[in-house]
Amino acid sequence: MTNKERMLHMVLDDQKLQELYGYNKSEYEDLYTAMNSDNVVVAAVARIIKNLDGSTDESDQKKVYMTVFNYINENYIL
Amino acid sequence: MIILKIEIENFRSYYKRNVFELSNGLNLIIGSNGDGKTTFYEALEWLFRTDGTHKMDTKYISKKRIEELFADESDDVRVAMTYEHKGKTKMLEKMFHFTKSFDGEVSTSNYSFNLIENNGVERIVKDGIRFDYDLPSEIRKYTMFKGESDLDVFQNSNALKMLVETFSDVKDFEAYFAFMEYATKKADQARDNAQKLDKKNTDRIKQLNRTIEFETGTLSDIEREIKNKENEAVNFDSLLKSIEQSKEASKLLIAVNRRIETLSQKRSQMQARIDENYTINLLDDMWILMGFADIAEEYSSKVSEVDKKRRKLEQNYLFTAGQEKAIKKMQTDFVPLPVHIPGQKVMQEMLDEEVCKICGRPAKKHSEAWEFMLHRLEEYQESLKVPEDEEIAPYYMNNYIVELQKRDTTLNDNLSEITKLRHKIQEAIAFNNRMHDEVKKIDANLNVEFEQKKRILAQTDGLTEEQLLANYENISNWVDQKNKAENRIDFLKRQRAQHRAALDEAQDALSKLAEGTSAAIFAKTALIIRQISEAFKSAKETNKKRLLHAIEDESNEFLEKLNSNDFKGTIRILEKANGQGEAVLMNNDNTRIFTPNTALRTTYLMSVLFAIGKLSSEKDKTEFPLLFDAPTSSFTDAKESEFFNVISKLKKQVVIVTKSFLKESNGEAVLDKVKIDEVNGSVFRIEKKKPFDDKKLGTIQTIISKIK
Repeated sequence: MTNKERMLHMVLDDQKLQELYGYNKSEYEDLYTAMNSDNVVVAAVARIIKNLDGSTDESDQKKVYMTVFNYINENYIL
Repeated sequence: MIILKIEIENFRSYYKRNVFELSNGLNLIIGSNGDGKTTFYEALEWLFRTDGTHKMDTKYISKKRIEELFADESDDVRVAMTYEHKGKTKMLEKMFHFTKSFDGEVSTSNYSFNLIENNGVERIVKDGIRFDYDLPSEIRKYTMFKGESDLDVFQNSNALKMLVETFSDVKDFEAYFAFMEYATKKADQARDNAQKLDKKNTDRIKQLNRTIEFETGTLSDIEREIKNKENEAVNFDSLLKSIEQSKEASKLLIAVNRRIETLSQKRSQMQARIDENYTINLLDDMWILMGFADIAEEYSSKVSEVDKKRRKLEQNYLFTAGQEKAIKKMQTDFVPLPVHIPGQKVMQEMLDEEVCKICGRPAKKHSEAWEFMLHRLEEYQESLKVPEDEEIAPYYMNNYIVELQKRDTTLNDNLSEITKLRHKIQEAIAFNNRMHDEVKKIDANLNVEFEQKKRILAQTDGLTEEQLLANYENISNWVDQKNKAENRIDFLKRQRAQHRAALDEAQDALSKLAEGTSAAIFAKTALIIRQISEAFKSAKETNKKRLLHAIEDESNEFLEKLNSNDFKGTIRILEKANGQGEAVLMNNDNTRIFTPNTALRTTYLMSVLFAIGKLSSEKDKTEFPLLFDAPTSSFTDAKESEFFNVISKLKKQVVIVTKSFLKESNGEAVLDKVKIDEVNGSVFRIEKKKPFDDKKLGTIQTIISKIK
């Protein structure tokens, strides 16, 4: 298991997030599955972890933010 | 990673080439003081240094080798380690060349630091800094320990952070944490911009945004203050912990000092009451006369007798002298009347009758004849008088007897006092002796207190008396400050919860307000990003806690093994408010054991090290050796054997440089074979080659013999 996958599991383990967005964390073993999830929050978390890649560079942060923001904006059904 | 061989060549006391063939497990390198134990450890420290510092230094060169070289001759200092790592055998080698000049100066050159791999076909030489890939520098700091005091890895303020970064399940949380803060802020801005278009709810949105802004600002202030107060509490706590051990000593010292002060005052008072000016008393207070009463009486009677005699003699003298004088006067100054003038009476008769009965002629009163007779009578009468102003020579030219008599009078006046003197003197001396006895008793008590003071100061880890007293004065102040900070933290945390709730409420209200408008999705997105951010935050904490729990669990397992027949407590790894870590020992009632004995401290800190070592092994799927220089100085013999036995069963390569297992025999340190036989593992004996000149470093050479 990679560092990113371990991080994914740990973030998805958040009780409040699970309750609010009703996902089953055990379904997401790897980043690929999480990124392709129908659950927007799971997919958003996976995108953050994958795309940021541990960078602290502001331009990377900006790119990742735009990707995630647009993704949620476009895919979340109110 | 397993160390197979260590070669030390011309490195300080290691003259020419010396080889340690190590085994996987416990390796003991035993030597007495000055035999080269620390040099062995320092040679490895030098070899492992990959930061490019401390490359060449003449202090590393064997003095014996230098002295042996002729002018213009040269040799190498070399330390090499052959090790096996992930199936490959490699050699890390650091060396430099040294040359002795004609004037005896030594110069260094040709430094090299290489990692040499042999792949079976060829020998590949790489830069030594690539050793960092095999034994990363962050792990290396948890593999080498010098002395018992060096064992606490958390002494380094960054240790916990480093451990989390190196060994926790998930890395780089910091970067994601920073990103989530950025994304949350941006998403909130996007939501605010979108909601500006919603004219219907403009006022409400403005109001909610003001609330959010206010609550966010307040929360930020509260967070900052909490952090400050937590730091304050930690600082005061650390200060209190730092003096915890000396608290009792401080109390005792203050009590002892008070007793010393009281006793010293008493002593001064006693001393002041002692009057031993006996010489002055002898004369001023006539003490000298004590025991002279009989003599004084004899003196008195003698003086009285002499005085009586004196007075008689003097009286007789004066009487006789008076008589003689009157006669003499008469003989010398008397105006003789004519023989026919019978005497004064006749003369007076003639004057009264105004007739001269000698010549038969009348002599009228106031006549010349009468006046003549009167004159003669007056002359006669005058001559009879003895002149009063004429002194008689004293009988005694000096007044000695008078003086003696005066003394006698004084003495008699004081005789009763003199008879009392003996009692008075006895009383004064007895009083002084009593005072002396009291002073002696006080001195004895003072000595006891001074001894106690010495004992207290000798057992307080080098703290001075001033520091101990200052500590005591500070304790109540620090406890007060710490309590204040903690109370404030509790209050702030309650405030924080209230403000967070208010913030969540305002944000929810804002999201709901956006429902049914074009800003709805922006509000929802901002909310989701905020919630993801919170999930990252708690994941980061969980990640850290898991690591700390893992270290705790592993440490306690090692502690159980290392301290099986002794009290051990439970190891806890705590995170202080300032982010620093701390490995502590707890009692079963969850109270902290502040002062474990040195052996227990060593074993619990070593357990933490073994736990970290195990974590590092799991992380890299490989074991790392641990190297200790004299880690068991405080252990008893029994504890030491037990400790080494446990270590030898840990399935871990441990190299320990120690002076244990040596015993005294005929004034020399020799190996304790019985104890060595009890230990599983390789044992090396290092010692100074004999003979050597204890004043000449150039004769010192470490020799190695493999015992088992």
